[in-house]
Amino acid sequence: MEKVLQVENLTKVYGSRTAVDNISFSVNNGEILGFLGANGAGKSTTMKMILGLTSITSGDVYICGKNIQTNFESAIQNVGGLIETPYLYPYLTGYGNLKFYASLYKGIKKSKILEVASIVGLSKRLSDKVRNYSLGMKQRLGIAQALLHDPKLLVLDEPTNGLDANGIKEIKMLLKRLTKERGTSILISSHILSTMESLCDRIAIIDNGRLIEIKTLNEIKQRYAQNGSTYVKVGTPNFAGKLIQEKFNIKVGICGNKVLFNASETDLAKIIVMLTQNKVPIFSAGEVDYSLEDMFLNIVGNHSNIS
Amino acid sequence: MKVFRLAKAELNKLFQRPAIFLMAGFLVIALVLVSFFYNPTLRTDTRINYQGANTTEIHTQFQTEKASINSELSTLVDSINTLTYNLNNQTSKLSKLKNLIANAEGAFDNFHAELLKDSKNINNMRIKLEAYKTKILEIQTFLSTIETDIDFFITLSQLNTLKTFFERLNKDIPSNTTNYSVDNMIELGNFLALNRNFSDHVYPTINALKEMKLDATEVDKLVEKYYDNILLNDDSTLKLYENEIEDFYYSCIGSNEDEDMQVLNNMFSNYKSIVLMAKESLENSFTLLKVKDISNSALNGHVGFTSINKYELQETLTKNTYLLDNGKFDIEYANNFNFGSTAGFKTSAYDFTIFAMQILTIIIAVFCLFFGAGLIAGEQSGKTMKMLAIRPYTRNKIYLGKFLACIAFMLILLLISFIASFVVGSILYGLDLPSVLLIINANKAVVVHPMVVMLIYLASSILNLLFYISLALLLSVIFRSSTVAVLTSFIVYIVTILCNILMIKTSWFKFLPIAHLDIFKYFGGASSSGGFLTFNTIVDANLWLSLGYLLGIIIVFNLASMIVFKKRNIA
Repeated sequence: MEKVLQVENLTKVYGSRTAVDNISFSVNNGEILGFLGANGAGKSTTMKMILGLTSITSGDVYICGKNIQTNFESAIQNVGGLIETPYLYPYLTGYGNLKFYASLYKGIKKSKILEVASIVGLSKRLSDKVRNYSLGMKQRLGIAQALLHDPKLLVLDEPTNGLDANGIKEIKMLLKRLTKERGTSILISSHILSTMESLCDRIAIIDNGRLIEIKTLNEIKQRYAQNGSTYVKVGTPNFAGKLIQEKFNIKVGICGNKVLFNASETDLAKIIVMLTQNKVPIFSAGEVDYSLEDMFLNIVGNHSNIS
Repeated sequence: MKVFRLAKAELNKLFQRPAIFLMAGFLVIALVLVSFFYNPTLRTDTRINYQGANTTEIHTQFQTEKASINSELSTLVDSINTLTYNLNNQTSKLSKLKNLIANAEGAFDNFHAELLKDSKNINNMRIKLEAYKTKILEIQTFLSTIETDIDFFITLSQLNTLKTFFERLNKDIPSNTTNYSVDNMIELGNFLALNRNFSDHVYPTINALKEMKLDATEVDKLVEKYYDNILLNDDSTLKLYENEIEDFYYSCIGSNEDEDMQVLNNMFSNYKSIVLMAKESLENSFTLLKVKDISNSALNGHVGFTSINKYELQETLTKNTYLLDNGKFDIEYANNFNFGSTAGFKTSAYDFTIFAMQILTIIIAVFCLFFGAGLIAGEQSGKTMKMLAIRPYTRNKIYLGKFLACIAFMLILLLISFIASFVVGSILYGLDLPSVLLIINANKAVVVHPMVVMLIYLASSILNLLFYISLALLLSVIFRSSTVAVLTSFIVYIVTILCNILMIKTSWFKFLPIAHLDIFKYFGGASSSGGFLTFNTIVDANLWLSLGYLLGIIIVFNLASMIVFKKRNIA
């Protein structure tokens, strides 16, 4: 069975600037794939090309096996999208907006509109005019309109833009539910790493129009764990580092006032005792939990070019 | 079909906007204002209305005036025959002008020869010079008569060239040469020969002038058709009608009943109407014969033909011929519909409706422009387009859906306004207008119910508005700004109205699309004002040409819009 989204050698050139450079990836069924990248990296442009909003310079996009350039209507039927902030008709109610988009498809009934509204949690405010909606409500309505036709794939570009912590949490729960309950696949982009961390099955890192790598979160974490998964935070890191190296014969890395190394728990206990004996002040010690932020900055730092 | 589904959705969206009530309000207020300020100029009643105590008295009045009525036509025939004869026997004005110039040239040659003689006689030189000047003055006098009485083709600029030349020449020749020596004379002669010679300055213009060509047989046919058959022959139209008059008179001779006198007066009017129609027909067909090889726009640059409109002449001719052939001499009937600000003898609902619609159509046009521009440019700038472009509709279908919504919106507004205007008009002015004589494309006369004319007017308004909508959509797609689209379209609208008022007559004007926007003018006459807001000037075109051009432009605009829209990167 074909994948829900297949992107091959996708390129977008604006004049002399290459915004998206030969990106290829796919999204598996029921998966949440995250696009991670700095502002201007090419995430939005890629997603706009996938949705047919921007023309493709070269490459192909297949949605459920249908080519978006040669078979647009068929392909787009399976996608629901939300690019940045949703712009809705302010003079219509939430229901009116949904009804408008629903009427463009065949056979979407009123019950469906109400269902979609309740999924995003807007049932109580449907009959208010959209001009009176808060940003969070607009965002939720934006997601609702993407769900009207039961798409197999959702393409969401910065869907948590401008939401507060509560709002973000709700969206995350909503998206996770969609995947679990309906098997919807989601392609989501953000530059907020904590969101991506908790949401995505795989993460694709985009920088300067290129796809750097695409791995599951665990895979990324594992790679950087090679630097050392144990740490002690001390007052004199350099001195402590030397001591550990000499006495335990292991490689260390210094990161600020943290000394990083690979050691078992028992060894860690011994190291702490040794450091204390040498009058090294110890503030804390334990397992390193690399945040996606550290890894991201690391990866992007290695690959960034000044163009 | 999908496109219709989108159009319907867009319309539903529109009718949920609060602005809709504003629009409705505007139209209602406009209709009310129009109703108050409508003040049509009624036609002056030129029917004969002899006053008298009984039918005998008025009949006598008629008899005395008959001759002068008839002479209107016979005088015209005389002048036509004279002109034709002159043209075909070399006594036209052009021949005369050429002769005058040739004579003047001869006078100059005499003068110049005198200068070259061995025996220089200053007196003879003076005499010959004076003779030359006299000839120049003759030419100048003749040139000044050309404006009022012309029988050849000369453009204004050609006439001015000649006038300017002879003015200068006149100035260069002093009227008093008593102080001149022989040498002065010789100097003058050389100067004139070098700088004021005819071969450089006069003959190029003269040789370019066109003689009018009149085929005497054709003219005879016209005279026969509109004079002999109508006035002269024993069984002519006029003679037969005269018998009718006499028959009726003898049936009520001496009667002092108002009714009888009224009928008699009407019959006198009809009699006069026959003569006048015949005269107008003869005049028009003769003029058309004279200018049949020249286009209207070219013609208007010629002296004596500046205000001629061949279309109008043909139209009146068709109307009169129809009326004469069908025995409809009633002067009231003879006026094909005169809707708008100049009504018939009395106003009716039909007059009012057309007038009201003209005002309302401007308002409707503005609304449609805003709606259309908003659908395309507004959504782009408002960024709702990105929510629409990801639906299963190709770009073409999205565009067509919006275009259809515009058309539907326009039709709804037009129909409601039309019905409302008609209802108001019926209440205020009644429905009393019997059949109307419609002249289509200047060559087909047909009698129709006035409602048919209304519907044709409606159709023409629809086409007119379609042009502006298509223009506004095209500008919307290209410039992505509602303001630019609406403003520019409205400026084109104003320019069109201005061109109408200024009655542009340049030869290139007919190539512009705005010269062909109003189809209604081909039905019944530019002279019968469709009103001051429709575009009435006919320019070297006909119904099919304008219709084709208009439809073509509309299609081209929309195709261009679709092509550009397809390539747009949205968001």
